[in-house]
This record gives sequence, C-alpha cells and structure tokens, in this order.
Amino acid sequence: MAKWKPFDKMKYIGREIPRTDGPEKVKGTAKYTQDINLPEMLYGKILRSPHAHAYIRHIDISPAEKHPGVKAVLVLDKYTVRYSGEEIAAVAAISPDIAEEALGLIKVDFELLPFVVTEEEAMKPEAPRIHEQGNVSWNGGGNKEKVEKLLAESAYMVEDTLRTQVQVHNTLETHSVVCQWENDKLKAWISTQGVHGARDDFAKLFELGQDKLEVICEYMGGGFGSKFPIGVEGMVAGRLARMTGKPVKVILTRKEEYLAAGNRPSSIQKIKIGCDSKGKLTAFWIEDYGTGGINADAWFPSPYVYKVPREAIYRRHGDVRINAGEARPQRAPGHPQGQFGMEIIIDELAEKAGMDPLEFRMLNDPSETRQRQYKIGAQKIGWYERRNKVPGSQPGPVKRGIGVGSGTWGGGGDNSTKVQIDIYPDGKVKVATGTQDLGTGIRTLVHQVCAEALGIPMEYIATDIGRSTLPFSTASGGSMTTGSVVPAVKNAGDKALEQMFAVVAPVLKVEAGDLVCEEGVIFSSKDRSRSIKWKEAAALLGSKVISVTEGWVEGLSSSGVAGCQFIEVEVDTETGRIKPVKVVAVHDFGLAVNMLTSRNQIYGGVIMGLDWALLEDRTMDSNTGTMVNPNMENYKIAGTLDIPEIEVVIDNMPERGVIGLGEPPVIPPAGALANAVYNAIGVRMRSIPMTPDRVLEALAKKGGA
Amino acid sequence: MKEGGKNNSPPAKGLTRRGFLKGMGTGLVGTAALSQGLLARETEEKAPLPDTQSKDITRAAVTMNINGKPYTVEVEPRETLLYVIREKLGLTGTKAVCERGECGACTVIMNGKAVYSCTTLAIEAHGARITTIEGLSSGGKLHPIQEAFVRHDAFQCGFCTPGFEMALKDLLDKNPGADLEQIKKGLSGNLCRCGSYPNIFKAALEVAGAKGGK
Repeated sequence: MAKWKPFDKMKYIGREIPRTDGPEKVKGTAKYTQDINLPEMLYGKILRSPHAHAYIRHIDISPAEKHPGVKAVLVLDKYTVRYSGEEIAAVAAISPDIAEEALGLIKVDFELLPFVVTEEEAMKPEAPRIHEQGNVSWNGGGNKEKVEKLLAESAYMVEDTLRTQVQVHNTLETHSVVCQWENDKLKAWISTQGVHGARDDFAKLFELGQDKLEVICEYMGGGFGSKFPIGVEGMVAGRLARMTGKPVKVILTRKEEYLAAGNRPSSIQKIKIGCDSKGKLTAFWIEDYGTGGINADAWFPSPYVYKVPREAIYRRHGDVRINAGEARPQRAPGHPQGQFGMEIIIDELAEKAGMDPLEFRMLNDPSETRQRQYKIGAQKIGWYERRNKVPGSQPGPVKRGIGVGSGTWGGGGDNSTKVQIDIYPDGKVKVATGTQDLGTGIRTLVHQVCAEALGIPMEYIATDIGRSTLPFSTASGGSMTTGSVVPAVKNAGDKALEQMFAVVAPVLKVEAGDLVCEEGVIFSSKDRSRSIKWKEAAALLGSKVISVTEGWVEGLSSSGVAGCQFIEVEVDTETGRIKPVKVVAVHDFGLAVNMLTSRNQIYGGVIMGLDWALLEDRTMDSNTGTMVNPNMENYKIAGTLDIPEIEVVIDNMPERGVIGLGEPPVIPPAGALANAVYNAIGVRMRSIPMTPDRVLEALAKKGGA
Repeated sequence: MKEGGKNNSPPAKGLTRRGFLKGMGTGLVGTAALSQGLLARETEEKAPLPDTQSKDITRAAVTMNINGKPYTVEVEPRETLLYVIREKLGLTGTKAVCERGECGACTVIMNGKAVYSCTTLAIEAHGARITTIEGLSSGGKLHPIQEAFVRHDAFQCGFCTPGFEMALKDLLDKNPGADLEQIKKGLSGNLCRCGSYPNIFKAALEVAGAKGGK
C-alpha cells in the first residue's frame, strides 16, 4: 500500500502555499465560462413561466422570429409548467438585450391551474394535487409504539418542533454555458462541477460519440452542489448553436438562479428525545417533512452525531411537493438540517437533566476525535469560565451567550481517477487531470503534491485541469475531489520519478533503487556525492519525454471526519439583532495538504452556515405563487460588516492520509448559534433564519424584553 | 425629466428603468445625452421591427479612456458600462453577478471614484477615465493589493475578487491608512459567497499598513 512520508519530512505538503492560480484571479485574466467571447457569438435567453402552475395552450413565436436581431427561437416540448421560473422556450439573438426583448414577443396562452407554494398548504387534504404522485410522499415509520414506551420510561424527556428554511446556492457565477459546433463536434465551455459528467450529458443529449466532445471549465465561480448536470441551459445553448451554426452563450440571470438552479430543502422536525438518570440517550422519535420543490426529496440524517440505540429510533419522513424550483445537492446535503434539530433538542434535554450541555454531548458522542476537539474548542472559547450558568441572566439589554454544535462527514476517494505526468527534456513538468477547481483550491493541491512526489520546486511544474480531454477525474461533490485526485497525483509522480531514476542511475553509476530527489537534486542515498541536478538529469532524455498516466491507489487517503464549532453571540433584546462575536471551528480532515486554502475553506463554511442561520430565506408568496426576493438585496448573504472573529483549529491527522474538507465546516454553525442565543437570552429560537423580528417575537412570548 | 441636465440623476418616480432608457433613445430625455456632446444616430432600419424597444433605439459613439488607452465604441443608450467593457471591449476581468447594484463584483473606478458598472450606463461614461482590474497592475508586476490578495488567499472561486480589489483601491486612495473598521465599511458594498472575508481583511490591512497606516 502506498504511503506518505512522515509529515515533518514533507516540503510542499502541509505548508501555507498561496494558490498557484492566484495571480490569474487577482489580475482578472482567469477565464471563466462567462468570459468566453467568440467571433459571431450569439446570446441565448430562456423564456420562463411567470405562473406557479399552468397548462400551455398555445405558443406563438412568430413575432419573436420576425425581430431582425433574433437568429433562432426554440420551443421546449412541454404542456405543463409547475413552478414560476420553469423553462418554456429560448431565443438566440445578437445581443442579450435583444434576446430579452424577443422573449417578450413570444406569446404564450396559459390556462392557469391552482398551486401551492408552502409545505403546510400542500399537505392540507383539500390542497390542489400538483403532481402525479401526490403532494406528499411518506416513508419510514414502524417502531413507533416501542419508542414511545421507551420515551415514557426515560428519566428525562423533551419534545420540540424545529424548522429550517430553503436556502439557495447563490454561486456568484450563475449557471453559464457557451456552445460551439464545428461540423459534428461540440465544444462546450460550462461552469460545471464535473467536466466528464458534462461530456456524458452532452453526448447523450445530442447522440454524439464521446470523442466528438470537448468540455472546458478552467475557472468557475462557485458550485456548492448546484452545478452537476448541464441543465436546461446547457441543452438550450447546444441546440441554439446547432440551429444557428454560430456559438451561443447562455448566462442565467441572478433571478433565474434563485428560481430554477437548485436549493437546499426545508425541514420541519417534530422531535422527542429521552435519556436515563445519568444522561445517556435512551430513545429518539422524529416525525418530519420538508420540501425540495416540485419533485426532489427533502431527506436529512436524523438522529445526528449523538448515539441513540438503533432499536430505540422512530422516524417518519415526508417529502412535500410544492410549486417551486427543485432542490439540488447543497454543501453537505441534509446535514445542516439534521444537525440543527438534533443540537437544539440535545441542549434542551441536557438542561432538563440538569447537566452542562457540553458534558452531556461528550457523554453521548461516540467519536473519539470529537471528544478531543470538544476540549480544544471549549478551552479556546472559555466554555467553563465565560458561558452563562443561567441562560439570559446577564443584566442589561445586550446579552452574550455561548453555544456548541457538531458535525460529521464521509468524503473519501474515487478509484477511477487518473493523472498524467509528463517530464520534458528541459526539466519542465506537466501534471494533467480532468478535475475542476470550484474555488476549493484543487489546482494548487495538484501542483503541491506533484512537487512533493517528484522532489522538485513548484516553479518547474505546470498544471492542466478543467477539460474533458484530460485523464478521467470524478465530479467534484461530496468532499471527494481531494481524496480522489491527490492519491493519483502522488502515484503518477512516484512512477514518473522511477522512470527518471532509471535514466539517471547508469550515468551516476548507482542503483536506481537508491536514488532520491530533493529540492531539484537527484542523488544516491548511499553516497550524496553521486548527484545530478534535475534539469541536467532531464537533459539526458534527449528528445524523449517521460509520460506516465497512473490512477488512484489505496493508502494515501481515508474517509470520515468529525468537527465541532463553538460560537459566542451578542443579542440585543431591544432590537432583536443577533451578532455572532466569535467562532472557534475545530476540524479534522486527515493530512492537511495546504494550511492556507484549508483555513479559508473553513472560514467559508462557517460564514455560509451563519448566513443560513441568520439571513438567508427563499420567501414564496402564497397569493402569486412566486418567490418575492430573487435578488441579492432581499435574499441576504453576509457582507463585510457581518463577519465575526473566526478562529480555525486544524486538527491535523497526517497518518490518515488526505480527506476532503468542502462540506464539513458548513454543518455546525446553525445549531451552535441557536444554542448560543438561548444561552444569551434564555429564550429558544426554534426556526431559522433567526431574524430580529423572530427574536423579538420569541422574547415577547416569554414575557421578556 | 424635471431633474434634467444630468444623465446620471435617478429616473423620476413612476418611470420604469426600461421606459427611461427607451425614452433616452427617442429623445424624450435624450437631450441630456446630446447636451454632453454625444453623437446620436438613427438606427439603420432594414426590416420593419416588431413593437419593441429596438425600433426606437439610437446609437451613440462613446469615447472613454480605459486603463490609459482611448476607446471609441458605439453603444445603445440602454447598454450598461459593464456590458460594454465586458462584451464589446473584451475586458472580462470585471464580473457580472447581480446586475442591479447589490454585490459590487462589477466595481470599476471612474473619474477617481468607485462605481458599480452594472448601474452605470455606458453613455454616462463618455469622456470618462476608467480603471478596471486589467489596469490595476502595470509593467507586468502585481499591484500591492494583488500581491496581498494572493499571499493571504483572499478569495476562493475568485469571482468577487476584481470587484473587491477595485473597491479597496478606491478606499485606500482616499484613506491610505484605513483600519479594520474602516476597511469593513469601505468594502461593505461587495459580497463574497465563498466567505473569504477574514483573508480579505488581512490582505487589506497589510496594504493599509504598508502605506503607513495604523
């Protein structure tokens, strides 16, 4: 089995290495899909339903076709639209403005149908049926009576109903695609989390040989799970480009992004939980539902993290369909929802049992890693010294509190990943793999790991990623990119170096097996005087190139991470405003390849989690069936003034090999924050986002403030 | 328009943006543009247009100095500065994200002031001196802001980065020694979805410090 060197012997891994594509990004020269401008390129726009639910009786595209700036009009084959924002038709025109005008010229005769846009309306017996499979699909159940008996027998029991809202991915680069046909070949630039998956999608859609396709995503402006399929926009761009014989660029507007490009489902969780007199969990009961829009599920893991005997769990889960855009995987799908419900109910039970909430967690958390992390975090936030013993007991209108929350994630690696390394006679090295950098930093990791494996300076190496014509690499999801790509780079590097040593050994008159390369010098471990500089060694290749393609190997990565966060908040009981003051985020992800980019990714997870807990809310209007806040002014995400102090603790475990980090840090914030708010004001927030009006309402109910 | 005279004054209440722009083309408020020396020309009417804005659109040649280079480009009154610099002039470093003045990704510096190029009409930029992200560095060397952004990893996907850099440049041009609070306020018109804010602050503080600030 392949192995990493001891951590302290590594030169490029485990360091703070600035992104190697940083200069391109800061200069504005990095080419994202939206930046692709081709000669004679047309602009595609999509006509979307303004109605939540309607039959399409007739579409008249002739006025749009008459517009001299319009080059093609495409009608999508459908008779029903089931949410505001669903695609109906598309046009290609010489400018985006003209394309948009042309959409207005298409006359659609709708027959309006009844709709539902909230979970509660959809579940009413008298609700209009909006889907062939009904409005709600239930699963699970069983064990109910037994679990209720266990609850009744528990020394302490609490029950509560917790609620999380729909969150939109809101990637800054909206879904974007440029398609260009060259005879029977299709070249597509697309903002995607999987260039190879996109190649598959395009090939199937257009019945093309996979060799007739090239999919390119050199830089992308975020994905967060929303950019796996090529989507309607990919299909539209490809078809319009074929119809017109010209390249077509389709960029979704911000509004389209909110309506139809994915989201995190909601959850409404009615939970009962019990423990024995010592605090050990005895039973867990949950009936929950949520909506993933018109046809996606809203499942989330529950119970979460803390151990409940398997036979003492009852769960019934409902997927509720509403007339709204469909959910897509979003950063740690399901986990933040499961975490929010569980962390609050655990806090409530600890209080009922008269125990410190952290001690209570440590008693019920089976993860050894997290046991260690709790201690680190508690010390850094001052849990025992600074947390209110009696929630809400601080004098004055502005109160502080501290809370804790946990998380877990799988990650892992995909063994189909391949990497090609070429060593040229001038000593330059190219490392290529068809992965894509969503902003996570994988391009830089590829660079670092190649340098580490070969023992040469990073300046000798160029990376090539983001194209489907490069060796296969898996889609970037589930925090699996690092676990898939990094072992393959190391393996290819090792094999390429072996070939280099075979060339050098006879010249140095040493055994190839004794050679090592460090800092660009190849030498015999038995006799350091027998050495040759990398560039001189490469020159021995003459006109040949060492080219190695190797795949993922076992032993360099693992899966499964823990993690916990402690949050301190300040709550103004007069305005209802919650201000996170400090976050301590303790996360493990095996061998930390790049301390700089990893810390940044944890910042980002914490902030996105806080956003969800405090600001973000897709608000649907029951009267019109549309989203009322599809813009960045009314759908809030954090700005510079909302950012607390964030202390990141990287719980480095190099012996485990690499593990991805994208999803884990987004999980703990909401639960930790809600518990901190309770500790500050002594009033439970049961729904997120915890907006000032909700805080004031909760305080008023309690008779406080 | 009663406010008349300045083509960057807000449209009168009750006037939609579309109507406003359409009006500019037909001359309702177009005098504002003409009074500033813009050239207005009739569209070449080839085929009869359906009932859309396009049939009323005139075009104007706009001259701007961008990153020290003169550009003359024919624009429609409805075209934003963002659209013209990205799609017509190919300066794609400036990013389009919200296109309604909410996120700051399209920030450029116009006549010494940071503006959202998505809410600035191209014709407003006639005669203006503009710096875009492509003009931040010179002579192949990174600007200190760019160096600090790379060193501190002040971005992840990088899509908000040009906007943040231009907003920071504007801030530090006016307040070279800005402290953390001033930096947060100065950059509060920009959004980052990846959540790289703590590193943006570190980079900004370093540049401010290097200029002799606190």
